[in-house]
Amino acid sequence: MSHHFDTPTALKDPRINVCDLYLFAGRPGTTVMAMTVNPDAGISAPDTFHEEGLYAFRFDLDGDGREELTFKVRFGAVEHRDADEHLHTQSFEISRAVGHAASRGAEGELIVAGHTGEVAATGSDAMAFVGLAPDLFAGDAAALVVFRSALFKDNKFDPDAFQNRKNFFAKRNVTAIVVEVPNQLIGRGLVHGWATASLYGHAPEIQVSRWGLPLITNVFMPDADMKEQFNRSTPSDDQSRFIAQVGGVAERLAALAGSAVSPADYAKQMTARLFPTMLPYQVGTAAAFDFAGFNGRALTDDVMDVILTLATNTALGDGVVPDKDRTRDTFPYFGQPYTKAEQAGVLPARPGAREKW
Amino acid sequence: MTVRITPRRVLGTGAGVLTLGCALRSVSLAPARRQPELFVFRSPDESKLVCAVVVPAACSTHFDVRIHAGPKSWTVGGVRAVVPGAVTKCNDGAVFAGEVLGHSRAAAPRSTAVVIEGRPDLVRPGESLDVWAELRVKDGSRLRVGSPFVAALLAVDPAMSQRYHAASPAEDRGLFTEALAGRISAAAIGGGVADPGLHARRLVICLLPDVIRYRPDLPVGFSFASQNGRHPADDAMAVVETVLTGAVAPRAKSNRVRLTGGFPYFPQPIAAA
Repeated sequence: MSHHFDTPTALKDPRINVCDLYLFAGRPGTTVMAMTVNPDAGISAPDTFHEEGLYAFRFDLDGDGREELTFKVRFGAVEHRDADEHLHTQSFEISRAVGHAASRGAEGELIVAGHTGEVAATGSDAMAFVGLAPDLFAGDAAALVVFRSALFKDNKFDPDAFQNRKNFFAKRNVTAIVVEVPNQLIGRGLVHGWATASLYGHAPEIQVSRWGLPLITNVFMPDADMKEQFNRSTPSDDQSRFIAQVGGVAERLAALAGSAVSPADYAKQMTARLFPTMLPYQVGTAAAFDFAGFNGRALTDDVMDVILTLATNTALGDGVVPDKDRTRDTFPYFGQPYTKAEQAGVLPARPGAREKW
Repeated sequence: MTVRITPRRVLGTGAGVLTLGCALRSVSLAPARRQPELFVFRSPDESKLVCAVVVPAACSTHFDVRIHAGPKSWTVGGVRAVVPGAVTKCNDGAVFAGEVLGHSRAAAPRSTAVVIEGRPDLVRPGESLDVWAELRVKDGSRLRVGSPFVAALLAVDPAMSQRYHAASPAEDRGLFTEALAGRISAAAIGGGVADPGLHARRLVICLLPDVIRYRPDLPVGFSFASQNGRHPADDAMAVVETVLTGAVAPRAKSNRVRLTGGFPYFPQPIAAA
């Protein structure tokens, strides 16, 4: 659960729950940004996008925690494809906005448009794919629940919870928005990215989901209200609003684990690494989100192990890894989604969830 | 490589001595007990900067230690390991040289240590200090000590290790970039990285020159989050193995802190009556 179902809002409408963000090099001279929404799409969530949703890839180019560049994605009405009520299609448009327009609204210069389920391309070398995709996040969610309960309820460090070694997200799908653009549309050097989902339509724009680094809410924030606040805020707010919580959890874990001479000092080291919670990326380089550092995120990076290790200052992993067989070397880089046959026996991620949207 | 060291009287010199510790240990997990280690950390009351070179095989020790910290270097000559060490006051702090007990489960049970306690303002806030050390033994051979990362990679390659111990950090990138990248890449195969070669090239830039960096305005610790100095109780090898291989190593118990409350902080054997 990088950020799968991490707030009441996300549970209510998974179409606006940003699960993960990826940022990596594509074809030579291009960068790929991909976000996934609809955790457990097709089982606990739909495979469509909110028609009043505004999905955005935001980039801080000057280190101030605010976006100067945004790629915005909007969708049309859901239609049935091939007259099949089980197959959905939506039109989409992706726009690029800079300056003041980057932070608010849906305005921007159109760079690519298309329909879900198909690769769209333009003369500007931008490409996009939007549609059902395999969930490449791997994590033992059940173990994490046990670990968090031990910490937040019993004040105990329970690394043995991760001996469970079951990938809760195995054979599940999500919906992915994958955009590949020439590097000059982003810039040069070090950028910091994050993804958001907002509602923008009849009501004033309201951000409901934010993803800059993996597992921030699901590891460090037990309180549902704080998770909502985090999702509705911006990276420029992180230091003032959330660093105490995240640092406090790290200090507590280091103390319980006996993994730091000074747990308080370790918490400072860790929050310096994580805050503000944006994904750093050196444009034009190979991405890797690992123990050595964060430089974008590749589709198969095992972020769960990295965050668990950082949170506890111990070499801690959950024993599961992303399914590399569900990726490809060419656009859209996500492999085929899991079929119904392959998903036989997979239970809904949310018991009692609607299976038909 | 075997080092014979024989105790001598202390020759503390200079305006202060900084020593940073590292475990020379291979990725294939040669025991840390056989390798010198360097540490830099703050005294418990945070008023002093403490640096230590800890050399195992304390039964017979005879060495000179030179510590390089930025543009400065200090030499401490010889330590008697067969008798309790002595504390010597110098202009900017205190120097201890002598036998100490193992500071952690991973350390050798008895070692020889040179421990320096100096003023914390030896480096200005905002600036970083690059520290490394060299041991000169009686037969003329030289051991160099830097970060646990490089030490771990060198131990499986005697030829490269020999060249490393003869070189200085200024030469590291020219001499060892390709070889160390190869070692890192080999260590990462089967680990958690998609491209071991790329992983290696990315890491080796950060690891050379082989020094331990210390910034006084940042929290001290050799941790998974960052590496600033090194405290004897830091589980440095867990960090090294995980970062180099890209995979979580089987969970090992963390170091048990056994330092004392006062200088030289490393426990010393009780003298026979």
